[in-house]
Amino acid sequence: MAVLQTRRLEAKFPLRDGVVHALRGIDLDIATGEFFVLLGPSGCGKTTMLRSIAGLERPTAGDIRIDGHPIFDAENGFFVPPDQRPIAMVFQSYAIWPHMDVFENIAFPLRRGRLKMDKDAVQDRVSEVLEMLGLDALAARPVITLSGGQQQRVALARALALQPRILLMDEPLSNLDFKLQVRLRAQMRDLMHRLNLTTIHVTHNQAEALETGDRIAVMSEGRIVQIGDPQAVYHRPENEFVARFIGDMNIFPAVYQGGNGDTARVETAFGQLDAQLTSREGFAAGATCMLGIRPEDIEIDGDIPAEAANLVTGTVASSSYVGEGYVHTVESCGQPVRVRRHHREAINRGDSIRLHFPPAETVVVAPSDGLDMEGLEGGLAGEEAARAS
Amino acid sequence: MRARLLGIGWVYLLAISGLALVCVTVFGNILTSFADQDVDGQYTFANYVELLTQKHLYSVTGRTALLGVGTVFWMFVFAFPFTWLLARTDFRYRTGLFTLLTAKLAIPGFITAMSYVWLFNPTSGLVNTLFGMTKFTGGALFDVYQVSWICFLQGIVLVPGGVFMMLPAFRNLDASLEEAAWVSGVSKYYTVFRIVLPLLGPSMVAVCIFYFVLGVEMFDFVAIIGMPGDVLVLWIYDAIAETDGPPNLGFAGAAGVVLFVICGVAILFYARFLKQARKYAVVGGKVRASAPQPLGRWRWAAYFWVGVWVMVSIGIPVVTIVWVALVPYFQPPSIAALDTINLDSFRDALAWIGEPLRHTLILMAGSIVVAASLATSVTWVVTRSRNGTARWADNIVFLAPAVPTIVTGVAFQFIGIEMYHWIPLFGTIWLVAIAMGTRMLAYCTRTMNAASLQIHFELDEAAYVSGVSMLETFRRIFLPLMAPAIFYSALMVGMLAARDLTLPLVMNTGNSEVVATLIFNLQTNGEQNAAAAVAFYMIFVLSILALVARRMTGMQEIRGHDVARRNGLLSRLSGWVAELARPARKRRLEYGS
Ligand SMILES: Nc1ncnc2c1ncn2[C@@H]1O[C@H](COP(=O)(O)OP(=O)(O)OP(=O)(O)O)[C@@H](O)[C@H]1O
Ligand SMILES: [Mg+2]
Repeated sequence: MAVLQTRRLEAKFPLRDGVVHALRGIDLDIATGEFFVLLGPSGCGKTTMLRSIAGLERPTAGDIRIDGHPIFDAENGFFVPPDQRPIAMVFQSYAIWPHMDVFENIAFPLRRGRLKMDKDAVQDRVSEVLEMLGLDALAARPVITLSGGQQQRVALARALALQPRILLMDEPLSNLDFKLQVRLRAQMRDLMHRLNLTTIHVTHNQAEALETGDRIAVMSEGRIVQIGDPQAVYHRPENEFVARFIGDMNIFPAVYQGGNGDTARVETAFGQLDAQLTSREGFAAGATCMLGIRPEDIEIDGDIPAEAANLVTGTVASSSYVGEGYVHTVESCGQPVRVRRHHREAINRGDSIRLHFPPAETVVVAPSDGLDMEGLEGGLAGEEAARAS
Repeated sequence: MRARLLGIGWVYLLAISGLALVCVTVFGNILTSFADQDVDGQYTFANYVELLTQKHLYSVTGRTALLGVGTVFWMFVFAFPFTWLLARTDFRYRTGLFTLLTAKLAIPGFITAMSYVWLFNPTSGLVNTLFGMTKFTGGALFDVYQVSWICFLQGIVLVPGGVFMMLPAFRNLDASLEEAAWVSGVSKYYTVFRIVLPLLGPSMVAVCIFYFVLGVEMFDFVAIIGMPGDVLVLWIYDAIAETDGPPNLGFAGAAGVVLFVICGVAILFYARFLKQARKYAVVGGKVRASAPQPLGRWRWAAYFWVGVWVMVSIGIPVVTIVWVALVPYFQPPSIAALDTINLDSFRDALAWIGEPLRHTLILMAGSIVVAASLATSVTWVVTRSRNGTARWADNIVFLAPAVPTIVTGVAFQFIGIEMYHWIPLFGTIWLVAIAMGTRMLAYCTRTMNAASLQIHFELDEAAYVSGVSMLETFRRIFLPLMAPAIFYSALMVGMLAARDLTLPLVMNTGNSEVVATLIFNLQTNGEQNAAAAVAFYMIFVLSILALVARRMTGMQEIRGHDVARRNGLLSRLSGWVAELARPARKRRLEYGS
């Protein structure tokens, strides 16, 4: 059974002029032990969602259940306050209490919170989590002397000590430097799996989401636009928003012509192409749709199998060095196509080149004109933002 | 569940009591203004009729407003350049100036007033007698009984408060705003005029309006110097302190309502400018202070102006008081007088001081308890409860300073009489303490709101989601983190309560004499030497309190680390005393933002 279940969750914030619709009907079912990631651009409602589960925010409609017990129901005004919910939370700011030392930060909720544990039990529990997170040496340190990474671990220790049914984490890594972030991602996921702890992890960093999540829910403007495992979200985007938001993808307008089941044939500026239909809803013949392919999936001259279809020819217009290799922009039928290749390959500006879009890697999705696409172009937006901060 | 609700309910209960007390002062005042002077429990318009038919109503109201404007003028003339020196220049003695401003808080306004009367009154002022030029010998050299003198004296007394109020605005001005102009090729001086001053403008105007209210309602100077022609506060006081017959509370109430309306309108303007000022404040993020500007030759002007203020506001009063306390009878300095110097007055004062000192201590403790506990609760409700009604609380507290001190006194006196049957507080120092606490509530709440907003909300939320109840979070997270602000507020309240003359004087029925009223009465009865000796003790004790309180918010008020360099005996003394409170302060500094 699902540990956490939300139905038609809506949240609105009144402003002086109108309202912000932060959540617009969220349905979630999260299974025991799952590492669940909420991913989306800034302002899409991730924090609001998490805070609603915690009870720090009161949604305006819908209901929430934990282990089948309602903890919130807008219909009859039922609301369990945060201190009565079997949860724990790691805040973006860590929210370490500055007037207590490390030990006390972890012990205080155990002693005074829901659990009301006695002294010895507190001592044992605290030592246990301190050891688990390698904080034993810091127990008596005043928290203001800790580094960012250490503070993060204290915040995590405080949450884990409560042995919650659900652990909520709001961008717990975003205040750390990039190297440390990358290291902690895997550690965090492994730890939660070992503890079989149901975790909801909020992030706007897609690399982090893909690396840690058992399942990912991609959010946009208060809605969940796709939910699935990392591979599905990455390789089989269900709409243009997800295709553009996750990773880097070439997107071209297309017209649906026909297909059967999972495959589709579309008409594009490059001519007729075959692709996977990953969109949830089907299309009528003649309907507008979007064709997407990732730069690293495009094959060029040497690699193209003999009798391949889906071929496109173009001229290399520019190349940019990105460390692991080059991203070449190939001009074809008036459309720029980004192609990612290894740096040892000699491809020069002005070269005429043949491109192959393998049908298995090419996707057809519905255009999402309604959604906010701003700032999502060029892919890896999250990664870049993380590097910058 | 119910027990838990009641848990945090205590905090709400305290907050509501605080707001109720503020409302009581307003409604009590309005009620008083309708009270029938002759028939108990009857209400009438007679007081307003009496007020409106007073011959001089308009000129008195006009003079009252003039008093406010004049006071602001003198305050600003000193406070603005001083703030500038502290916040934006390399003025060498910033710490010293800061310490002196703080020390000045320890010299009550009425004592300053008293010393100036002793020096410059036309009949027996020491300076006038010294030069043999009094009213009796063909015209006094100086005559302190002038509206312009009162404006000047109130102005210089309010300078420290003005500086402390303007400093944050200066500090919150992000240097990059100016730098953006400089790097665009705009000259430094032009930048000041086009960027810095316009951005500071709204806050400066707000501060001026606030001090207009203080200037209008301030009673210390009017009480001591009296008035060449009346102002409203004096009308109110005269009505209460009727020499022939019982106090005319009704008339005092009606005049109080007029004063309240003037101050209320001013406070509304104050709110408007404050809002404007907030729009200019940098949203989020760290503010970088601008690099100190070298003063160069201008430092001589700075020394001069600081020197003038220190002399007139600290030097003259303290020296006068010490002199008057040392000589056996009231006389100007002379060789003959020097021979008669002795410490008798200081010794005699100890005999006078016992009971009033006890009352003063009760007054301080009582108002600290009332103001600090209520303000803490109000602050929690306003800034932390995320309760929809919190804005009301905020507005009520914000408007509270519009109720003049003297009006607060009248209102509590009236209510004290009405309630005497149930709670016999009327005439006791306890009622004065409650009134004083209520009066201080607004100032405390302001300080504490600011401190509370510095504490990240997630610190509370982290406790809630760990299963800690709201009351427990209030006690174990909010209170400890607020401790420095609460402690600082308590010290300030204690000090302001001790030095306040207005409330104890207005509410005194003979059984609640405090040190301030003792000094006032000694002076009125012509016992200047005793008054001076008691005043000296008072200033001495209050300066220690003031410096400890200031040390707590510390030199962070001034910008930069270099100013942490301590100099001067006073500041070293205060440093030693403040060592006790150090850990708390350090926490706050390091975790402040
Ligand atoms: N207390 C509030 N009052 C008004 N609007 C709010 C409030 N909290 C959130 N919002 C609005 O709701 C929307 C969703 O906010 P939320 O904080 O959930 O976004 P987010 O996905 O967490 O973004 P980020 O990645 O930047 O943290 C935003 O438009 C935000 O402005
Ligand atoms: Mg967020």
